[in-house]
Amino acid sequence: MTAITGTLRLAGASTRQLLRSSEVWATMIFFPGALLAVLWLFSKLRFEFGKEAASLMDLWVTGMGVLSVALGNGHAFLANIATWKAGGVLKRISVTPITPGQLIIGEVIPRAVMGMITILGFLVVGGALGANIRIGSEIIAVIPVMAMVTVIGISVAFIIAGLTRTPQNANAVDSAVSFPLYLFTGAMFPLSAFPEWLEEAAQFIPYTGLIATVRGIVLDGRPLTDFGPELAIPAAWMVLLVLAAARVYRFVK
Amino acid sequence: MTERTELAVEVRDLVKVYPRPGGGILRALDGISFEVVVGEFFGFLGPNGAGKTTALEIIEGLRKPTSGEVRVLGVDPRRELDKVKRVIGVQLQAASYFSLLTIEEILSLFGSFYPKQRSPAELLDTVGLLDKRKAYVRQLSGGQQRRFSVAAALVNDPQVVFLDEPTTGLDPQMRHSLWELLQRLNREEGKTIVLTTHYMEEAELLADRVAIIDQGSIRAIDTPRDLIARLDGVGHIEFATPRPVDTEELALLAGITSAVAKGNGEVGSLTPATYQLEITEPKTAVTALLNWSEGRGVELRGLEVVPGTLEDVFLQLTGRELRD
Repeated sequence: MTAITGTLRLAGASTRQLLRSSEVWATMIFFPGALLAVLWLFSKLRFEFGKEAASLMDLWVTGMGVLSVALGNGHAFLANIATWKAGGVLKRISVTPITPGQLIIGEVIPRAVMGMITILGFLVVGGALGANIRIGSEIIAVIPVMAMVTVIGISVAFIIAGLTRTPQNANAVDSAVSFPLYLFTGAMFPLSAFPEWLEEAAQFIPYTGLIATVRGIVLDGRPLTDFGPELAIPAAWMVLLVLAAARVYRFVK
Repeated sequence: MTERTELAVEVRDLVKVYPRPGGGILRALDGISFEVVVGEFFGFLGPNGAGKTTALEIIEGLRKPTSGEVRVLGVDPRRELDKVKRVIGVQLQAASYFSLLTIEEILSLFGSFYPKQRSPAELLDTVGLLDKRKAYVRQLSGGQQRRFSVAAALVNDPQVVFLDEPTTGLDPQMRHSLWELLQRLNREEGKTIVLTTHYMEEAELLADRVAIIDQGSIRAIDTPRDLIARLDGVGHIEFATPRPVDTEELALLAGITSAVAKGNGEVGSLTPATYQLEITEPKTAVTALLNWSEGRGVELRGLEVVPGTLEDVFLQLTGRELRD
């Protein structure tokens, strides 16, 4: 009972800290807002490749929206836990009965909720600015997909924090990991515009299938059940990354 | 109650070995053994790197020993760490707290991790920080942060409290204020306290018993008074003279074991010569010194008899000064 109470209190404390953190407001409110404003400026642009064409607004509101929320969330979280590790917060927690697993759950719950609220807001505002987003009951199907996005992002943050010694190193690794994701997950450019081998290889990146699923739900109105193959690879990644995070991340050496 | 349950901490033949970066090993703890009785204020006195923190962190379950046995209130931290964590309070040498929670919120959060807890307001009142309850840790002074970390160590109303150099870096006023708090916790609340320090006056004032530790080994354990009583000498005499005198002559006086000159005392110098005499019996030594000064016509200025301290004990046991 104490374990559950402790975990829930950690989640409550994490929520309180999130709401007081200027970095979180920047990554979850200001940056997505600025991104939407920029996208609106280019709302008339379209990608054309071969016989296919796509609105840049549709492509980026869904792809960049999902990815920037996931990475922004993960980045802010990584900054937090790397600092906790270096500053001794985790060592202090380690002398209490709280386990690393409880801390992870306590952090993931509020961030997952915050990520989902942000992406839903992003899609709604994107729709209002001209993207062909379906704002109806289908948007509920986005929630479990965004939960996967959040868990993957936070697991990667735990792994990076576990493998690096300082917050600066963690930040550098995070940047190196994040940049290719914008290029090769279909977030910015349609995967079908890539060479065939690259298009196939990109399917193995955890976010690729998740972005495709969100697009299919909110642009085409397809049900979540249509995306079994797209979600299988991210689901496998999610399990692997959570296990790796629990193994790599330790309160103390 | 059996004799075993009256022991708060039992440590037997504790060894901790670390690999050295360039090869070889470092024996941070070289087979230390000691016991702390329930209700006792126990001090670990030693210089930086002596092994104090390593010993404490093994007892707290933060580190694994290479070999040896540890029991906290009869429980082995390696087997039942969770049980041990519930009955101990820990103040780490270097630890920080969530930066965006107030100190009251941090105590409330940490308290929720335990089945038994004390109210944040009561704890903050105990450490004199109740008026700072809405402050963040970074808004507290160094002394207030140390007081807060002591409060955080008490959230679960622990039976045994471990404090790792709680007053390091504090100014004398803050240090005395924290000492009063720790004495209150031990005497009025009955907490067993295990404290590490490299301040001999801290160990001497607070601890019922002191373990002197150096290079991973315990050199002596006893009450501060009995440790000092074990000294070959019981203290020293300090004085100054307007002109230099022969230290070899002073060392031959009754009750005096050695004499050293500490100032220059050269002819024509404005600085008087100062001397320190190690003594075995104060009355005999002072009488002999006064007779000698009268006979030689040497004026003794600022004559002072200084009793032995734990610093002297440490020097005698290790051949080094505590602050080396």
